[in-house]
Parts: sequence; C-alpha cells; structure tokens
Amino acid sequence: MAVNIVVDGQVVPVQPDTNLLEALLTAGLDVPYFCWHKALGSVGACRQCAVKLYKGTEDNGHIVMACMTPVAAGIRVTIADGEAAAFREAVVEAVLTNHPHDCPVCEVGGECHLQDMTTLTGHTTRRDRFAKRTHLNQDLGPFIKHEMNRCIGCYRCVRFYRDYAGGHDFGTFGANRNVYFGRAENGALESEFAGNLVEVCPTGVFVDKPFSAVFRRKWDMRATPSICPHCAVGCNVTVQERGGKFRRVVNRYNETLNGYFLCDRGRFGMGFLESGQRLRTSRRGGRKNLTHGEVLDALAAVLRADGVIGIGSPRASMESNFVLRELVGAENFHAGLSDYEAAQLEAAIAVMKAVPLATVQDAQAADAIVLLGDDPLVVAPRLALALRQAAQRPPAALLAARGIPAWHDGAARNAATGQRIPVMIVSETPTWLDDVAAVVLREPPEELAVAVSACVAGAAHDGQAAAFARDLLSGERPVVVAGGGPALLFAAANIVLALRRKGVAARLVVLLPEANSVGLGMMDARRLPAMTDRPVVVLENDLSRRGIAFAPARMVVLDHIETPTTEAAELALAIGSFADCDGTFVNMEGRVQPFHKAIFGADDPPPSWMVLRDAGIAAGRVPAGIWATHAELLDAVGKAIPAFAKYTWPLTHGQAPTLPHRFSGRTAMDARFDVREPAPPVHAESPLGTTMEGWAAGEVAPLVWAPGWNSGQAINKLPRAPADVFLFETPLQDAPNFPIPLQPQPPRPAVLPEELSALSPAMIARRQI
Amino acid sequence: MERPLTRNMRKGEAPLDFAGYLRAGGYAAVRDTLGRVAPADVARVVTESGLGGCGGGGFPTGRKWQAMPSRAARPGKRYFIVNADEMEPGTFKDRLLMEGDPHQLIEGVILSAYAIEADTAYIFVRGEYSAAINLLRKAVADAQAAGMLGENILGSGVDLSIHVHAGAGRYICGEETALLNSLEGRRAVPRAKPPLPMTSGLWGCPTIVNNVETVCNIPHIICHGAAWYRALGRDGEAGTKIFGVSGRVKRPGAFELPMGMPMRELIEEHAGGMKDGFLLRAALPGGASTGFVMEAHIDVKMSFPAMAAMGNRLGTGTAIVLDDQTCPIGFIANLQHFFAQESCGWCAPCRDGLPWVEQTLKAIEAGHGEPNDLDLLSEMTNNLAPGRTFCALAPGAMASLQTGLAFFRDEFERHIHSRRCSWQ
Amino acid sequence: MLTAEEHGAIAALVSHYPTPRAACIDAMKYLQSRRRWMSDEILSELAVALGMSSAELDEVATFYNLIFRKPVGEKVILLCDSITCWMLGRDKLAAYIGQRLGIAAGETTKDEKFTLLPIVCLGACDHAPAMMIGDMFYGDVDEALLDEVLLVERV
Repeated sequence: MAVNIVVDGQVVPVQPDTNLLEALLTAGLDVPYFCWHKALGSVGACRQCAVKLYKGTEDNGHIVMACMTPVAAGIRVTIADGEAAAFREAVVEAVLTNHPHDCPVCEVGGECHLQDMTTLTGHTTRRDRFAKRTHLNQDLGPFIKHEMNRCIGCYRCVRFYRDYAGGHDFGTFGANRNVYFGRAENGALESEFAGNLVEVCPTGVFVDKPFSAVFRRKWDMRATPSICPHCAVGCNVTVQERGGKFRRVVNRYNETLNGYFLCDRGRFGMGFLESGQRLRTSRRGGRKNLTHGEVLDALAAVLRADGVIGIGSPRASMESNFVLRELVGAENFHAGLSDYEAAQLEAAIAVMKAVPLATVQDAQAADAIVLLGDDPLVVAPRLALALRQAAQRPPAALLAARGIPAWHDGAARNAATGQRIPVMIVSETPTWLDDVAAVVLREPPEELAVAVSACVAGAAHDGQAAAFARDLLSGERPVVVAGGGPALLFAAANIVLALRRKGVAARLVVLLPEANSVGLGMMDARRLPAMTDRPVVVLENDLSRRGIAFAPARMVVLDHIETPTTEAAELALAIGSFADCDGTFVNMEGRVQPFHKAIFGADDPPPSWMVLRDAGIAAGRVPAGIWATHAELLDAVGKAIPAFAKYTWPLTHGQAPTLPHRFSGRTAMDARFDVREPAPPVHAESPLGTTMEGWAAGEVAPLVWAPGWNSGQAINKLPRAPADVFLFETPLQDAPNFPIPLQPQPPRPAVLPEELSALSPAMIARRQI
Repeated sequence: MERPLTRNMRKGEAPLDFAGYLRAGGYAAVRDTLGRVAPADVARVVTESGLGGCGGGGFPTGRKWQAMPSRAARPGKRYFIVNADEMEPGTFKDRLLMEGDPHQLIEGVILSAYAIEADTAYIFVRGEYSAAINLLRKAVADAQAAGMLGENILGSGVDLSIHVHAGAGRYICGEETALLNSLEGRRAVPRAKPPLPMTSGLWGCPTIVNNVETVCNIPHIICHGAAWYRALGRDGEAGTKIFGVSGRVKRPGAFELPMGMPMRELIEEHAGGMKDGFLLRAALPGGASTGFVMEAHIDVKMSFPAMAAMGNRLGTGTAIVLDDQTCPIGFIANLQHFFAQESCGWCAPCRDGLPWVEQTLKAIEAGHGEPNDLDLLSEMTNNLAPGRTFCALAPGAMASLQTGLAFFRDEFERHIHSRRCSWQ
Repeated sequence: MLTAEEHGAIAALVSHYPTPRAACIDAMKYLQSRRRWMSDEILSELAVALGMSSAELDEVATFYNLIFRKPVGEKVILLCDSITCWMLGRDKLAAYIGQRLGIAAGETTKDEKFTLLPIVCLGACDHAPAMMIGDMFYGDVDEALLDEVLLVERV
C-alpha cells in the first residue's frame, strides 16, 4: 500500500518498505547512483545519491544518502537543491580524477552508467592536474577482460561476486586510492556467474571478452528479446547482432524469473551460433548444399511412407515438436529420450499438473528449503543462485526485531551472523549449496523424502525426517526442490501436498535439464522402441549423447548443429536455431515463453516446423494451407493441448523496433557486395520490427534505453512487462498422494555438459583451463 | 590535586604488577561490586559522574551503556571492547595509561563488562604498541591466575574472559565499527550506523566499544562515587583528563589535569612553554583531526563544550603545537598525507578527494600552487563535511584544512604568488 | 610449508575467537615474526588452515600496514612520518639512514638486514622523532642514537 512523500514540493506516492533512492527511481525521478543495485541492496558507499531531507517546515534540510534513507509517510525531500546538486557533481568529479580517457576505445562507451551519471550531474571539466593512480590488469580467463584503471570504487563487483554469488576467488585488495578488485592471482574466474560482472560494473572494468573480439557499439546492434536455450530455467535474454553475425547476449530483466542475472553458460554459451559445428546447409548422402526445394522434396519423399517414426526433442520448440507429431501421428511420435529421462519427464509432468510450483522468484523468497537429489547448479544454475539468496538471507523476524530494513545490505549481513532460514540438502553427491545448508545428508534422497512427507502428515518419527518436517511446517513459504527419477519426484510432490493440507503454502521445483523439456513432456510422446526398420525423422536431437543405442536404417535429421546423429543421417537438413527463427519454449516452472528471430543474415534457415509443414503438405500428410501463420499454429497447439489454449503469440500495436534510432551504416554495410540499398528484412508475423521504425508500446520491449539512461540501468525507467503465462496454474484441489514406485529405476546415463553451449568457443576455452 | 588515573605511575619505574596493584587498593571496586551491585546501578553511577568518551567523541559513557538492550530483550552473547587503537597523530595518552598502569585498565574492563552484562571482552591494541601488548597480556594472565578473571570471579557468579588483540596497523581501526570488522578478521571498513553496535555489533551481537582512558576512569568512579568525579573538573566540567602537548615545547608530555582547564595553562605551565627561539602560532587541541586554535584564542578551555562553541573539537586532548618556524602549509599537507593514506578506500569523496587535497597542498608548498587551488580546497572542506562521507575520517581531515584556510590565508596566497615556500 | 609448531600456534590463536577467520591477523603477525613476510605460498596455506580462500585472506593481508606481502629484511625500521615527528626533523633522519645503510624508503639492504619504511604516528609524540625497529621502540631519535642503534641491531 503506497504512502505519500513530498519531493521538491510535489506529492509522490511510493512503496513504504523501501529506501528513498529506489522509491524516487521507481517514481520516474532521476537521482544518480553507483553502488546501489536493486538486487544487491544499499550500502551507502559511493555517496552519489545525495539528496536533502527536511526535518521540520522551517529548516534548511540536510544531505542524506537516498539509498540509506528509509521511506516514511510524509517525509519531505529535495533533489533539485543547489547544495545537494553541487555535492553530487563533486562526487562524480572525485571518481573521475583517476578515470582514464578511455571512452573512445572502451567497449562500454555509449552504454556506460558512469557516462550517464556524469552527464546527469552536469560535470564537464577536469580540474585535477595531478597524476592518476594506475593498476596492472589481470588475466581473468576467456570470459572477462580486466581494465582496473577505469575503476570508480563502487564495490558492486565484489558484492555481487562474493556476497551474492558466493564466489571465493575474487576480492578487494589494498586500501585508500589503491583498492584493487580482482583475484589473488591471474587465472580464470571460478564462479559460474562471473559474467554478470560485465553488467554489474557501472564502467568498463569488466568487459565481455568474446564480445570484445566482435565488438560493436550498443546503438549499432540489433536487440532482440529471446530465451536462453541452454537449460530449463529459460532465463530471458536479449540477443544482439549486426551484419548477420551474433555479437553478444545480455540479461533481459524478468522480475519473477532471472531478475538481473544470468549464468555464464547462458551468457557465453551462445557463441555456439558462430561455431564451426553449425549445420548451415542440408545434404543427402554425399550431395551437399541442397536447395530449399530439394530439401522439401527429399523430406516429402520420406514422409509419404507409412508408419514414419518421429522423434521429438526437449531442445526443439513447441511448434516444431507439435508439427512433427501431427505429421507422423501421435502413436508414432517418440520423445527421443533415454529411459531414465523419459521416466523422469513423465513423472515430472504428472507432478507439475497436481502440485503448486515455485517460480525462481518464489524460490528466492522461500523461508525454508529442502533440496533433494541433483545439484541445481549443474541442472538449473540461475535457480541455484536464487536458492543461495534464500539460504543466506537473515530471517525477516530477526531483522524486524533489530530495526534493520532488508535493503540495508551491510547491516542485514552483519546482524544475522550464523542465523539463517532452514536449508536441508539430501543428495548423494556434493551440491553447490552445501556450504549454506544447515543439514547436509550424503545419501539417496528417496527414502528420507518419503519419511518427511509422512512426518508432515503427522506420523511419529525420530531423527532427521522429523526435524525437516518441523522446519518445513514452521515456514510460511517453504520450497522443495527435487531432481531425480520418478520415485524422488513423487516423494517430493507428496511433501508439498502434505504441507498444503496443513495449511502451509509450500511450492515445488522440479529440476529438468532442457529448454523445452516441459513442452515436450506435454505431448504424450511415447518412449523409444528398441529398434525399428521404419524410416525415422529426428528433430533437433543427438541421440548418441543420451546413451540411446538406436540406429535406424533410414534416418532424416533436422538440426542446426552437426552431431554424430546428423553425421549418421541419410538426410541432414539445416534448420534455424533459436536465434534464427521464432518459437516457444516451456520452462521448468511451466512458464510459456516466446523466442524471436534475432539474427538477420545471408543464411536464413527456416524453423523446423515450417520445413516439416511444407514437406508434410507436399507429401499429402496434411492439407494445404494448414498452419499458415504462427498464430494459427499456436491455436492448433492449444486445441490439441488444452493447457496451452491461454497462450497466444505476443501482440503489439504495430511492431516494436529492434534497431536503436542511432543505428548506423545500414545501407553501407554490404555495399562492397552490392551497392544497391538493401530492403530491410521482412518478418511479418513478429511483434518485432526489423528496422528502427515502430512503437515499443506493446508487450515486448527490445531496447533497454531511456533519454539520459544509455546503459542497462535504463531498466529503472521502463514500464513493467506484463505477466507471463503459466501452464500449470490450477493444480488439482485435494490431489491425492502419488504412489511411490517400488521397482528399481532405470540407470541414469552420464551427465554431459549442456549440448549447445559446449560448442561455444569461449566455453571450450574455459573448460580447457 | 587528585590524579586518579596516574596515581600509580612513577617516572622511570616499571608499572605495578598484580600484587602491587592490589596493595595499592586496586580491584577493591571489583570485589565490592560484582554480584553485589546491580549492573544497572553501576551504569547509573557512571552516567551521574558525567564521564564522557575519551577517544575524541565525548559522548556520555554511562548513557551509552544504559542504551544497551536488556538481557530479556536480547538474550545471548554480548561483548565489551576497549578501543586501544590510538593512532591519531599527536596522540599518546593511551600508551601512557597502558604502559603505566595496565591493571587499572583490566579492572576498568571488568567493571564495564559487568555493567553491560558481557562475559567476553577484547582489548584491541594497535600492533605497534608491543610493550603495552605484552604488559596487558601479562596482566590478564596474572589476574586470571588470581581469580580476578575467568569463571565465577571472586565467588560472585560473574564470568569474564579478556583477550588482548593486537592490530595490524590501520588508523581506521580506531573507528568503532571498523574495529569490529577488524576483530572479525576482515578489512577494517566502517559500518553504516544505524544500526549501532549495541544493536548489531561484533558478530551481530550487542556490543559496547569504549576508549582506554574512558575505561581507566571506571574503577575510580565506582570506588569514590559520581560526586567525587564531578568535583575533579574545573568550571563545571567533570573528572580529570590526560592532556598532552607535543611539538617544539620545553616539556612535551602527557599530563593528568582537571577537565576544563585552559589551553594556555597546559602549554605554558605544564609543557613549559615554547623552546627558546620559537614562538607559538597555533595549536590543534586534540590530535590531527581537530582544527587550529590561534595563539590569540588559546585561553579557551580544554573541554568538549568550550571547543565545540568555537567551532572546534577537543578530540583526544593531546595538543600539537605549530611554532613560527614551521610552514603551516607543510603542516597541513603532512596531516592530509596521513589521512589520504589511512583512508580505507570505501567511499568516493574520502578515497579520491583526500589524495587530491594532499597533492594540491604539496604543490602549493613546493611553489607550484595555482590561484584556483584555494577555491578547490575550500570546496573540498564542504564536500568532505560530516554526513557527506561514510565515516568521520575525512571530516576530521578537513578540520585543520578549513581552519588553516581561514587563519593562514595570506600564507597560502604568498606561496602561490611567490611560487616558493618562505620557510625553506 | 607451515610447520607442525606453527599449525599448533595458529590453532591456539583460533581458540580465542568464535570463528577461525577472526584469528587471521593474529596468525599472520605470528607467522611474520618467524618468516619476516607473508609469501603467496604461506598465505595460501594459512588460508586453508583458517577455512578461508586465498583471496579472502589476501584481502585482509593487503589492507594492513604491518602485514608485508613482499620480502623484508630481518629488521624493519619503521620511521614515523606523522606531524610532530615531521616537524622535528624526521626527513633528515630518513636521509641519514639512507646514507648509512644505502637504502631509500621501501628498500632493503643488500645483506637483508634492514628494510626502511615510513609508518604513521607511533603514539610517542612527546619523544619525537620516533621509530621502531622490529618490536623495539626508540624515541628522541637523532643521528647519534641512530649510529648506536643500527650498530646494536646489526648484531
């Protein structure tokens, strides 16, 4: 419920439990800052956000740091006051005394928070005639470039890396003007979230190194909202390209999902788009470079046969899996998973339909956590980061008793030394969260999970299960995280159901491995047969890495990367990756998310579903004109899978521009090939336009920019995105417990690194260290 | 006049050991208070005595203790800490107390910890004070052996353990919240207040930090009462204070004198006045983070209110004298060099502003000053004012600069215009 | 390599605090008293002993004036450079030491006996100029005292 404060004479409604800086920024007012960050809280170090606070009606006000000032109803402040403004300018002047004149050669120029704050405070002229302090840089590995001379000492990097992400190999060294942010010695940063330093640093100390090699200014790149394809969390990203070449990925803010941060796999794994392992042209037998017409003919020829088997994929889009299923018939559509994965997915879907699920944000807000089985850092890194925040957060009651607001980061951390929410981990192998757990048991989790749900329900029990149950029952928002086979998933579901029956608003997270595991799981795919002599169409799936010994005689594979499966195929068809076309993934929260074509280049590989549709029409499997538009296709999906019916292709009032209004060189870029002015690419059905024309007032906002806010901090100025659609919103009331299967589980195949990111040159370089 | 703090000290002699201190009447207050007088009553007496913090702040000590949350409100661990990180240039009074009468400090710790119901105390001594560290460690061991520390002190049911922690050299450790971070094994960066250490201190527990000299007063106040303590001061001030004088005076040193005595008397009588051939120009009353008191004003009383009334601070009460043969610009530049170097590096105005101030002053001193430099220095005294920086280090640095710019303006200008220092 | 005796001493220091890392400053000063300075190797080993990462420990080590992360001589001469010592001629004494020992501030004699460093106020302003050599304090320092002391300390 909002309260009113007075800012420069105007009444401004603000949220009560926040600090003044956040309140002013949310109200759309411009106050400069450096060290404050919404996710990292306030520490009051940089002194940049100075405003004046009045005590009575007659006093002149005194300078306070807005980020450290609690909002209270009726307080009167001024941003515009001359003394406060002069001081803010003085702070910028102070941090610039040691700052090198790097802007023209710094990767961050043009999207630099320091530049923006300097302009905002009005500082223009250097008065310091003395020598600047300088530093030597470190080699921090293949992901991050280090340029310490640019440092303005805001401490965000170390607060993110160490306090937020739990990293141990990064810190602040030295004192006074010589403070240094880096590692104890040269070497690749160890944290799986190190890449966020690039966006957390308000200046150019930490720079995306692979991007630096293909660097372009922010205003010279196309920005396309998309979804990371490298795991089932489906973090929102913005993919940037220029000249048909992938440049980089940056975080796209989603309040209930990834917030401000990505994992390194997402940030640096997309280099796979430019890897030599891309399948860019189709081939049949020895014949390479098939034309589009030849591709359709060859595929249609296969589809004409009876009983063609279709093998879907958890990394292919909803649309592509659906179309394949429609072409081959539901009875011939298989999931392309190992027995273990298939059993896991079936159980996961059953559970997700019946049990309330947690979003990543819910996991971060949990007040008790039970983690069973797989290490979330490996399966769902961004979720693991959220769980870490929950695990190291001081209990709200403790902070309230001490009068410490949760956003007062330093005080909150000091206050709760040793006191945390209950976190209990049961897994056979170490997990990344072991160090923040109260109890860690190194054993198979199924038995304990069953015991815990019994204890929650009231069974008398000694020992760990009872203790876990007590902790879960004493919470208001506990979260159970489970990654494993059906027995574990059902047992975990039963814990949540038992808690719900006791009136505790518990939620479940099911760890699944791939970007569209859930989407595929909704398709009632069959398990793979042992062998077949029928023709097989494989959709974006490398069967060999799943330990599947399935070697059909006639195999057609549609994919965008070369794999042992494409190499063994009689017909290997190059189709678009997530960056080359539009599509939809469903993540492990059941969140339905669109990805959009981000790369507009000479190659224009179509999405799998379009190739399959056209070949299917040519083969007479489906009527001509079917699924003529993307929207119609999604309608069809919704009819076949009712849970989908509420999801529609995002709309805008006209198309939102993906090129910034300062994008340069569009007509000169390819003049050396063809001097004629190129027509802009057409992408008619998209909510996104391919030019700088259009209006970003709809659901999708490609560009994070506002006047005077050229960096990613412009997110403060943008309207909130509309809520996402979730498949599983109405779990069955009074769902019964899941029976726990007694028979032994299928053997689990070795866990390999995620398939696409493993092809990224930067990831390959990192693993070599 | 009575000199309770230095009563056991004899020039040239070793300090009293445990047995000697006991014979001299020491630890009587412990015997008579622990388990017999309620801790709240101990605090009350200290409040009534008017004792103020001797680390430079002057905040009423008893009131600080009385603001600690009750045991009922905050069960669990609580800590008492002695700030013996004396590093303010010009300050040498705590060294005198620790090297001169270590058991006095130990006794004070026992009584103070009792008053705030803490069972663990740390004495944070700057690392360079090796003699004091050794003496205090021995004193703790001897007191422990005699049952004056440890479990069930003298059968009172009260426990206390004291650990003497030696610092590793950083002025900012004298800031109480930075001291807490240093004790926790971290970089000594200050913490934001609120919350105060009494709410969230050492490892998040309620904590009180007091200066050495403050704590040394406690046994005497408990023994002789608040009224006795009040009567020791002059002109309405309470207690005695270890004042000091350094610089080109005949008898530099530390002197226990009534609080509120005039600065002129301190310098001319007790310190013997200026050395032959030197004249007094000004003095900083209490260490490097206090402002200049010009010769014309040195009748000012050495008390917290009197110094505050003239826009200055009493600080530690150890005065630094500026003679007429020392360049004031060089004097101020040396101070700024200290503060710039000792900045912890956390907040921008201090970390990046103080070196700029130092470089500007050094340039002026060397004859490379520019006319705009004085405006810049003056702006800096505003930019580094209290509340603008994260802690009081930079505002302390500005005291000498701000008063220096006011009182030595023509010296500054002469350096700039003549492009040389006339003292060299 | 940390010796068994050193490990024992470190464990004893740890016992004074509720968390091992709180003993890190005590431990580093102890190790310095035996090894003169904190090398990367010793720092890493101490970090492990205290349950800290090397970066966490080095953050603390590089913050403090009295923890040396570069080699120093057997005896470190800490010559106060704060206000009263400065007024009473410490710069001349620094020059004199430089002349006698052939080192400037920050340097170590060739025989590794002495390193000269400035230090902030030693809290002995009534005996300015002041200095410490190792753990020994010297006040009212002049050239004669320096001659005497350097001779004594040399042995």
